[in-house]
Amino acid sequence: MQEPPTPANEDDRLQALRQLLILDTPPEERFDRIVAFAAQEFDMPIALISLIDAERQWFKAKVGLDAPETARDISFCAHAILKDETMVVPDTAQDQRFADNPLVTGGPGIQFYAGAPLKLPSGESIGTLCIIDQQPRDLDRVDLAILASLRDLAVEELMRRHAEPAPGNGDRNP
Amino acid sequence: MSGAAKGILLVEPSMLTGSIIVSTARQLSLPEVRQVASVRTAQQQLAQRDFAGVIVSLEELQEAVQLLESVRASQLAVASSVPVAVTTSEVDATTAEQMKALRVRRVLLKPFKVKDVISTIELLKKA
Repeated sequence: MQEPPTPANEDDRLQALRQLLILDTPPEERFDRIVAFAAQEFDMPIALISLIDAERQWFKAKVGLDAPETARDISFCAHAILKDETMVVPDTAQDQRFADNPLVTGGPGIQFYAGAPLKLPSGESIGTLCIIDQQPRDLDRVDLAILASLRDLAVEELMRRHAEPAPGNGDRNP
Repeated sequence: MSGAAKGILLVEPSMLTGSIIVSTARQLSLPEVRQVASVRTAQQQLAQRDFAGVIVSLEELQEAVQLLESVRASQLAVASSVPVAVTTSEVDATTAEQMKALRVRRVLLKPFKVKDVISTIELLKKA
């Protein structure tokens, strides 16, 4: 198994993630509906909005997975944030980076993975919108465009949350 | 204006579904998709300009049928021959006959996939 390399802009990336004030917050319908849409559109058992923290990946929204987080060193999404393009692993058994990953050899038994990086307007990739199957799959150009559209919507929602004043700080009318 | 430069009018009540269709079409360099949520707004759009194709939700069945009848009767700015597809939860025999008479090229059953709408846009573009 290949552990994910650390991005060159890791400090800025973590700062950008933490400034969103979203880690460890409760589920929100506007993110849940994006992963539900992705799972249904692509007939995938698992769809996630995964945020890559220093030592873990934490799931802001999830379909088909009970765990709230996993270790970063076994995270597929920690690999996906290294590039701007969607990372597709059609068959994990054929990919030396992941073939003996515990998420492949044990639960949830990942065989297919596609993760579109959540890149903020400031340039930092803080996580992914990803879809996962327990059998080998592939995506065509239309699928990739749809996944990118859903990803763009997730980034919009993340930024909308960031732009809105926090409740109770006096910026809103009663 | 050539058919390729004209856009597609999409009548889709779900803003989430509509926005994903609009964004995906843009990424694939397909004709621009303009989404409206109601038949009433669609009528206003079709009264003002031509489109390369129209995709109409039959959620407001009577209104949608009346709109398509107006299109085919050349009562709006859009070409009466504009290719049309519809989305619907179910199709009974009466509705099927109506759609045939209105020269509807494709019926997408809900819950449809965005991918099916994209292939429908490609179909309408070629028509």
